[in-house]
Amino acid sequence: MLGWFTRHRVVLALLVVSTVIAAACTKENISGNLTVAASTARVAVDFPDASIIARSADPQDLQTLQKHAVLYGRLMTTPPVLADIARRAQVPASELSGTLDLTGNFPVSFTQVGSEQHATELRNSNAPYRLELQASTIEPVLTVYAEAPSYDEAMRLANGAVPGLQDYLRTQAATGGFPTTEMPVLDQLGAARGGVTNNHAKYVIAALTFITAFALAYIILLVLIRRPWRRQEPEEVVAQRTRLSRRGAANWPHTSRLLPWSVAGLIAMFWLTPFDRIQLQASGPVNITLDRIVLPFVFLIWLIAFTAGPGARPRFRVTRVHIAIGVYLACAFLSTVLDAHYLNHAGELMLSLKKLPLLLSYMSVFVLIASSVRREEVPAFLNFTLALAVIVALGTIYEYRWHQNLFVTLSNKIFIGPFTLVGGDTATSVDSLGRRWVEGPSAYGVELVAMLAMALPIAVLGILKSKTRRQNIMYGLAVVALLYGMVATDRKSALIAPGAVFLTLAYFRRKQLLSLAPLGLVIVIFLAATSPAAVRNIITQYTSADASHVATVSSRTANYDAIRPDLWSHLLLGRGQGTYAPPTDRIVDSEIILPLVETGVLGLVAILMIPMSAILLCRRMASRHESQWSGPAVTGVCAGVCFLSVAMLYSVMSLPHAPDVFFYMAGLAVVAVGPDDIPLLRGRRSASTSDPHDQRELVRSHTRVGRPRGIPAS
Amino acid sequence: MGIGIRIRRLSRHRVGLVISLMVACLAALWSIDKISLAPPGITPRALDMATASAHVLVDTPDSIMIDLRQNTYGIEDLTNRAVVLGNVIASPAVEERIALRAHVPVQLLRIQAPLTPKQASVPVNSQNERKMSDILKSNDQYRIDIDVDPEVPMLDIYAQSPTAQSAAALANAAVDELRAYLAGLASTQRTPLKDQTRLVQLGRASGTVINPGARYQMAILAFILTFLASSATVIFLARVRAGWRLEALSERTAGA
Repeated sequence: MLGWFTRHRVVLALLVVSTVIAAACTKENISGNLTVAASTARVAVDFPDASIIARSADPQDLQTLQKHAVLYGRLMTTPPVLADIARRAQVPASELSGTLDLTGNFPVSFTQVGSEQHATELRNSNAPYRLELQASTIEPVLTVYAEAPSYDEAMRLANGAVPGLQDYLRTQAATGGFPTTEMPVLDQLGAARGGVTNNHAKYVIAALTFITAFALAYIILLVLIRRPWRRQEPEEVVAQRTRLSRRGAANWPHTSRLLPWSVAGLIAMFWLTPFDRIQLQASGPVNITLDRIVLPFVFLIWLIAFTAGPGARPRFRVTRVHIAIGVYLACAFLSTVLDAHYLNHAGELMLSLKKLPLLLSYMSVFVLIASSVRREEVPAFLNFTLALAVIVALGTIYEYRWHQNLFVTLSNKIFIGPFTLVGGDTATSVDSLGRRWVEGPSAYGVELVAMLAMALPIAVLGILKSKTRRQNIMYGLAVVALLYGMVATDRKSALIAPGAVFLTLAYFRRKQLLSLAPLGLVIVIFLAATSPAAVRNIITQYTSADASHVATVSSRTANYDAIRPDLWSHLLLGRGQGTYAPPTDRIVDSEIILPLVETGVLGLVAILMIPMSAILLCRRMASRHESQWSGPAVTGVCAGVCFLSVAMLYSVMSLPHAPDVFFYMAGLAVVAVGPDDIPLLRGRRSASTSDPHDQRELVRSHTRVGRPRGIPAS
Repeated sequence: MGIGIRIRRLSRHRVGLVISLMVACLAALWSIDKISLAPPGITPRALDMATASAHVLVDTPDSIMIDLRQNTYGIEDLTNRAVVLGNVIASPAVEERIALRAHVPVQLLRIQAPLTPKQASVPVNSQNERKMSDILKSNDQYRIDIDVDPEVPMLDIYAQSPTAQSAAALANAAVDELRAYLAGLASTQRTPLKDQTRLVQLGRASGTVINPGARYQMAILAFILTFLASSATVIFLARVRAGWRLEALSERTAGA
């Protein structure tokens, strides 16, 4: 026992120091009053003589009272009325703010607040005592929501709102010489009711702070102790003998190992099902969607596989993509932890708490794939992905042509019993610009385009490397199906995303791609002939006179100015992961703006570094045409470029299909590019690759530690 | 491992490291202060963002706040009038007077006229047209946004500027100048008092800086990003130098 402690003394010391640091940070972050109490009161506006309830009133009378209810709601957000309310509620007037919710039926663009108004909202949201007013759209009733740091104060505030308003109105009447008997009657409908809204906030903040501080402290201390920058002796490669039998040792899909099959099942779920809309019918703090059930199962199999010994054990290798992901996760967690007091006060802490696991799930897909797929299995997985993408594309074309979403219809039939599919079929819906809502298994046309575009290079590279006419035709048809599927979404992105992919392909495969020009021409003509309306619609969206001023463009452009108050008030690490969301905030369709607001400039740099690091990691291998891993590397670069392109067009990480597919593709690329694992010995086979160049790379990868790249070993 | 190798390479170039640190410090200083060489001096940049708001009820002499005889139509009339008054504030003549009253350079002042459900976004080709580059603009802007509630005749005037004082001054000046404009109009047209539009300002505006500490964050950010960029440059130049030497060595060897 003592020997074990002695052997692991460094790790144990790190754990102890990290725990102490995390405990100190936690204590600091939960200090102060974290209680937020809320109470509600309802007020009816009535005539001074006979009540609207007792007398026969025409709609005009009711509307007049309703307008006055809105007016009183507005008045209660202004300084003089707030001062009267604060006096009645016995709270400091300078610490009380008020807002009125717009309840009428107005265009979305009208309800989106601009930079100046949002700056004032931010100021008001910091007030410890807050009133939120909401007027009914049909009745002369005003609802008062009060928030305060204690239950008693919240109750006093809600109960003091109406008397405070009455005080102000009486003063106005006295100033104008208006008889008080003719003033409108403000009738509070019962005493206010309320309670503490965040009983668990202290524990949530404590847990989040401890986890974040512990993880960061441990990693930083570990890096400082290991000092990866100092010169190290080359690690000795020890060949390990696998215990796996023939079927077990074989590569997917010929293997009997559970892990790669479960990974394949997970990927099929990503592609073919609207998994984010298939929910378990159970009440809980978060919706239990299909991926939240399947992913933990696969993760469990992955963990169990660590005990399976050489050959079946996942191989964990840290690459720059892992580091970029780690940095982004750190930014996301820090953004929430450092702003936890404000988020708790503003009622946004739980919002962030729900989004952080979602982020972790995306990242875990990458870690899972990068560690559990063998290098030799990558081509099979890529072909599998292409097959899935073609199925999705064909389903999308069917949806476009026959107005039926097969993925939704089939999911409705398959996932019955405890599951329910929320949202339903939207195959006949149109968006604000009148475009058909074609979405396939995803929730958004652009998301579908992103998925299909990431699979496109597999088909194009398939044509380039195909040796038989049959293969050529099959891959060619796959390209047609994917492009047609993208065009069928009727989105402008259907030109941008595949355009970015083709440009990337052209960079790495200039000459070969040029030889495909006639085939490309045939594909374009075929698309234009079979679906002239879809192609024309997309081109028109670029060429029409108001192309740059349509609602989807102008609202996106306006976001850049509107978020400035949020950005400047939380410049470094943002206001908290997942906290910028409608209806309290603008609808932001950009993966540039959203991370900027939520995780600050550092978070934006970190999230952009994820696809960038994948591109940088793969680019060298992608240029080596002679290597069999060049194709998968090009696919990885294309996935990174595609992710960066669509990040400008919509908030990619808000919807799960595209990020899951991207992290899967990036994981495959990392496996394809990286040095192979320790050679598995079964029989006389010692190297896993027959390519001389790759064998050379294999040797170098195990011995080049500390040696400058590019200089051959002596 | 690659990062470890790069950090080690950087640590070997001590001069480069020192230069990187100096450049990063200079960038941090430059990000928060304007540095001038002739004459030598440092003046702070406008990084603070201050806000102030004023609320004005467009009313009649018999106030709609307390008089229920003002029916829906009367309120809608006043709401429409509030939109017109909001546009008056945004007109060039009043804009100039607001700038004068608030002691703000008129060329830096931007006033956004009220949007309505029918005109829900900023018109194109106006001085307030939104662009993607807006996010990169400094906070040295003086802006007023006028909102009109679509249901009741309430004008909300939101001011944004680099200091709390100027923000409050702008919001209050907008109300004062609108009131002066209406008084001038009533005087010119000899409008009887009972027919005049009454503006009720609901409390004077007070300004607040919403991003205290932005200077430090900006400096840290500039330092981090510049240090990373300059360190990468140092490593790149070192590699170029090594390559150059290697090539020169091989040429000499071939020559010999």
